[in-house]
Amino acid sequence: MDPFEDTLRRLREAFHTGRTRSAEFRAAQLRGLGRFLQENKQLLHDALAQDLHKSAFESELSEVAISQGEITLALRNLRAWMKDERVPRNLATQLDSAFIRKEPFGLVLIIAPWNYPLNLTLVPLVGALAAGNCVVLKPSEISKSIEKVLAEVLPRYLDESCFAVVLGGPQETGQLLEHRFDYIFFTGSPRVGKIVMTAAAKHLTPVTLELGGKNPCYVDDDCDPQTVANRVAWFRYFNAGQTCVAPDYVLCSPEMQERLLPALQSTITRFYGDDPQSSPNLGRIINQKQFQRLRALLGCGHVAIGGQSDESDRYIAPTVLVDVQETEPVMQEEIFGPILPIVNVRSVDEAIEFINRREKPLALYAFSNSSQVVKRLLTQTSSGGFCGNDGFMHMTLASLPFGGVGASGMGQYHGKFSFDTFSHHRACLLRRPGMEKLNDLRYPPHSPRRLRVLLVAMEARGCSCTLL
Amino acid sequence: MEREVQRVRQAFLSGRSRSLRFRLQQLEALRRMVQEREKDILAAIAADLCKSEFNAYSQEVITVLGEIDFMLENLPEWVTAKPVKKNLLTMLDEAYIQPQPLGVVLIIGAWNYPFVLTIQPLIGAIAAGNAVIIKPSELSENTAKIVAKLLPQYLDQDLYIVINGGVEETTELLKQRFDHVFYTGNTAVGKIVMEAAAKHLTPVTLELGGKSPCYVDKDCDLDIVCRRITWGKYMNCGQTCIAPDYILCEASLQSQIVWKIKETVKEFYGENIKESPDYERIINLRHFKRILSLLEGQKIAFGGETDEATRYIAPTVLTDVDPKTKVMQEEIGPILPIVPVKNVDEAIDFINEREKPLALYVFSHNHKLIKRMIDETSSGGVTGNDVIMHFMLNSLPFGGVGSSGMGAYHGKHSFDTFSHQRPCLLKSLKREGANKLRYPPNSQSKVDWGKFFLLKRFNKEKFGLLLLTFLGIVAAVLVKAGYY
Repeated sequence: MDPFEDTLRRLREAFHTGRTRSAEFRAAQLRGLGRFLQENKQLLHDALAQDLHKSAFESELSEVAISQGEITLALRNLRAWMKDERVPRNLATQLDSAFIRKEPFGLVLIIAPWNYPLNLTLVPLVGALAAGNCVVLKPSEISKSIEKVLAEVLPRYLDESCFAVVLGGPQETGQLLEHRFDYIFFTGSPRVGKIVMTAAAKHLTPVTLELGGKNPCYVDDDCDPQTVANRVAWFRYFNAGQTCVAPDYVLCSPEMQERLLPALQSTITRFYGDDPQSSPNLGRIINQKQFQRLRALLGCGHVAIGGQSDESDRYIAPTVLVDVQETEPVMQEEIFGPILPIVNVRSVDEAIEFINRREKPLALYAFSNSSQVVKRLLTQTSSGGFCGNDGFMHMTLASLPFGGVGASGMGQYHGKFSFDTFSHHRACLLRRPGMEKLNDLRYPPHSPRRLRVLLVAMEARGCSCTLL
Repeated sequence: MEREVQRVRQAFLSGRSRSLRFRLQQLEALRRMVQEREKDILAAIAADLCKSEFNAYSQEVITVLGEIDFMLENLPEWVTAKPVKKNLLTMLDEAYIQPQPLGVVLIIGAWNYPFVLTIQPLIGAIAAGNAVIIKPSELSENTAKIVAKLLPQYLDQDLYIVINGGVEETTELLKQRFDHVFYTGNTAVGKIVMEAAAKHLTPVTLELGGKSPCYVDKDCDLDIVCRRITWGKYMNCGQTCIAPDYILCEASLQSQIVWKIKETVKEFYGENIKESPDYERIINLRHFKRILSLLEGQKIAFGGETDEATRYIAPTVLTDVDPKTKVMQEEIGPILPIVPVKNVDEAIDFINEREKPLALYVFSHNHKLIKRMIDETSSGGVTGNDVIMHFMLNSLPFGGVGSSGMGAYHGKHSFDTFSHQRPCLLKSLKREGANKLRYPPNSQSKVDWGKFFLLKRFNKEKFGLLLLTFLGIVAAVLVKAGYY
């Protein structure tokens, strides 16, 4: 018995009725999402606190406000985004109507992760709905409290003929992926990303994969260690380090490391007090499995700051490791926790070489007073996104596309990029039924003379258009 | 195979494909290649498909030259960083999108337009600064050979290489890791390509096919319509992925359409079509036999003559075709089935019951009807009142949807396909005071201020700048002073 068959058929049929096409319908869905956020603020905060010990500050800023911002942006721009995009014409098509029509794909599957379970579910959802698709949402079963809210409360705010939430773990998700979708949007690990893309290949379903990697953070000698420590620590320990774009490890000279360590200690104390475990501003690890994995990483190198953990609380102290080897586990896998290893390099060149030896990360950070150094890091490496002298602020700007490259993912979203991701860009050329004489040149029989005429015409325009 | 790919990757890592100057140089060299060796290229295409010089030139070479010229003209602008709109929080920063090459691109070509379908993607990949491995289709042997011979004579020999071979070699090649795979071909192999790419999380562009429907309304000038359809259908002996595959029309129009197409065929190819230099041949025996089998049990209105020795199949039209028969399941070939429908509603239903095609055609004087056709169906692209032409305008993205493919190219769309559009935000280490707002320990007031900065839009940049600085200072001071 396939638990999803009926739901998917229902949604597909709804899509074929054309219900989701009008701007009014889509706007109503988006407004519904907005109301969902506003009317359930406390419920959502509580759920996020339960799942990840998220403070009200983090919940509001990184989950609710970001989602709200995307909804507002989509509502404001929906009609403009939906409009047919006129394109420049060439000589042959001067008299025609040429435009790109943005069409919904149809049935979209969104698979969401557990670390920002509200944001990383709603923001893609905004794009999919704005683009006029019907959506199946598969929230993460690991962030149980939010999963419950999304399954029980969210559907009430949307047209349920065009939207469904399906629940389950890896097995159910595997079953779900055997079905055909018109687009799949996945946020998660590269390992599962491969599984998703392989399943999508069987149906030739296009995908966007928002994956992860180890985001390098280069700290130049020429900068103020305290400022750098503040910024790096904030982005590292936000959400207890469970952020795909968090600075994963620091690359700096031994001299810089000397200055950075006390600065980091000072920052951590200021942020979380002398006993971080009692700070309301530090999150917790999502579950035992992740906790055990992270605790094992504490054995790598030497603990310079932090290193404490408490299994009953799934608490790991904001930690900094030094003397780590590239071969140790903490430098092999994405950390996804409040642990910051520092790796020494002797120069910018060595740092660039180090970074380029490894998989392309989702984000790359470079701290320096010298804009030249920052620009060098930028131009000589590749990554999903880049931020100079700060952490993942680039994510908060909806005019910048957000996505990975190489092993950190494919495709991009946020703002208009979401709308475009979930739309098929259909090339449309509407020609005139008359003026057939103009077409005569293209019809056989062709003579050598005609070829010469064609060549002369090409030469004369020195040209970049195709005549026929 | 692995060594070859490694060599290309090393060449990419050297960084020399990245500079604008280098890319322009390579494109200019490619242009010279096409111009200087035109005769060889046309001869190769002729040998593969029995294509006349004119056709090979006008269908393949012109498009390649046009694309190169377009790139040369626009590339300097495309490679520059594009600044983006900032919010209050990033007002003082530099924010832009920087296109970057992906790395090593694999292009797998097709046999039906063997030159342009291999070289046009190559142009895009070079323009975007990548290294490229080209795998031309082995079915169009001669073009594959000439491409392998000429490319190293004009382009950088380590950055752009040609690997020839059949299914076995392609399978081996697909096991290697690339940074983008661009495939033109059929749906079945498209799935294999995507699955292989998934193992390395390699993004793909798949230009596949499908049965492109052609709806002919009763409100149209049938003379003109049939000329246009005939042109697009029998060009390259029907071996065109965006050819009008079958006609949907009201039964009353069938006989007229048949008659007019027949007349047009005579006009285009003469009484003895076999002798027309403008009519091509089927690529190989396997396809010849396949297409022949599609005629079984069908009502041939005209055409149907074949000659196995020369792989000749006459322009053929079938009437009253049963949608369940084989000819309505496969594509590619100079056979045009006409499927009668009651009206445009039935036509739309018919189209929507089937896979999304690469192209859709609709002929009518009634603009509302055309609009309805477009609104109520989906396809890679559409040309209204003509066929094929949307391929010719490179400001339109060319690609499929659903089983007709994913991704698009041509013109700037090629450049974008083969680039990573990297978002960059450059801040300064100064003004750390303003950041105190975001650092713990947190308070409700910080939440409110944070939301303000995150969500507020400002239209007047300078004003926003001033306000930001002022507010930032005020907020930081107030918070520090413990008022909140």
